[in-house]
Amino acid sequence: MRYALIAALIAAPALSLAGPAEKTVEARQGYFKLLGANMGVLAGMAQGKVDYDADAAQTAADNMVVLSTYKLAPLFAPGTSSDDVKDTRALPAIWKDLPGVTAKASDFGAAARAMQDVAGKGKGEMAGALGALGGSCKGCHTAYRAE
Amino acid sequence: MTKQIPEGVSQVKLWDVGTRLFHWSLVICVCSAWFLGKFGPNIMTLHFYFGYAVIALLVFRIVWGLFGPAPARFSHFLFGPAATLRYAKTLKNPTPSYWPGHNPIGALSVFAMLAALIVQVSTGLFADPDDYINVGPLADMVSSEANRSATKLHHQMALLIAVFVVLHVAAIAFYKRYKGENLVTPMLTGWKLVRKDKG
Ligand code: HEC
Ligand code: HEM
Ligand code: HEM
Repeated sequence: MRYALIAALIAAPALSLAGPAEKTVEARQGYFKLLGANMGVLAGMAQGKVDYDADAAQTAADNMVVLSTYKLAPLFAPGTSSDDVKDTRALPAIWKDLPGVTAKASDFGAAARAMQDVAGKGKGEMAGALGALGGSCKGCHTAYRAE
Repeated sequence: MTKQIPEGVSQVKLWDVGTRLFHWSLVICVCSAWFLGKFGPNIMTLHFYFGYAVIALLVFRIVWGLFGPAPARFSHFLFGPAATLRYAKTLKNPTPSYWPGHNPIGALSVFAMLAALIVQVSTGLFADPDDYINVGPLADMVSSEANRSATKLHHQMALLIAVFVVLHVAAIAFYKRYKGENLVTPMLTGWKLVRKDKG
């Protein structure tokens, strides 16, 4: 009983924060889910889980490039780190090191463009570019995303 | 050996070649997997290969622990609380243990390290770090929440393993420096000075 009360007291301020910050987090995670969806198409083909389809691969790669040009700043508005909002894994380190994050984002952009050049040219070519593209995701996650 | 061998102690072939090869291969593979995981390239193919090698080594060690030569068998270094406490009381003596196998305290660390490594390789198989290239081979079999927990545990256990290994090596150094007992050479050659009345 006492614990429920304490829990409620702790939860109250968190709930009152439900608003812009949480909406931003939701949108941010939506953005990364889109990256994941397109990566899933390419990785599925590379691993032979689905048959290689040049058009579908090219579409996924084009989408990645479009996403890589999306201006991320609003999705990383101040006050939306894992210290501020409950259900996010965006580490406060992001806001302490914006140039570093930007560099990771441009690594991703470069890898996405490299993928765009080859995605429709054949399974082998596409799979060859996938490592660098996936590596660019990992590069940012390791540094700036909580577990 | 310049030192006189004390009464009741003799030189025996304690560790068979399987256990010794297992140990030093494990050292190489665990260290490689660990450093590749933490500091290696973003494309983790080599990490996976060393991880699989660790799986193979652990399988071998379990088989060896059940059916291998006596000193390598788990039953040989499974001690009750009483024996463990009795041994713990002798730890502070600055004299060699001449223990014919893993001593009761050392045995705890052997089991702890093997258990931690089993958890580590198992979580690795189910880990999915959302990069679509370094995905554990069994990740598809479970929910994405499970993937996430496995990944998290894989990261946390990596630290625990590092702690265990540091303690392990510190204990070996303690035996050498304080107790005057070299445990490393027996793990290399198989030959160890042991007391006849034990084991
Ligand atoms: C610039 C840094 C950065 C790059 C590059 C990056 N990510 Fe992420 N990713 C993040 C952060 C930060 C989060 C945590 C977002 C949160 O929880 O608010 C995240 C979260 C995710 C998630 C989980 C979303 C959810 O459901 O909560 C997926 C999936 C993901 N990323 C996929 C990818 C893929 C695929 C790539 C590469 C094509 C990629 N990311 C590249 C920073 C990055
Ligand atoms: C990644 C690093 C290491 C791991 C995971 C590890 C793991 C183990 C394990 C599992 C055992 C039990 C052996 C068995 O019965 O199968 C063991 C024993 C032993 N290890 Fe290691 N080890 C590591 C590094 C080292 C290093 C660097 C040394 C040398 C200083 C060392 C020296 C020994 C010795 C001497 C024993 C035998 C202890 C005894 O006599 O009871 N180990 N180790
Ligand atoms: C003893 C064996 C192993 C050790 C010591 C080990 C250690 C590590 C370490 C230190 C990391 C980096 C964690 C971090 O960034 O903090 C890592 C990541 C990873 N490991 Fe292992 N690992 C082992 C075995 C395996 C196996 C067998 C697999 C799968 C087959 C595996 C799959 C992975 C994956 C997918 C990652 C990426 C996680 C991420 O980037 O978030 N590991 N491992």
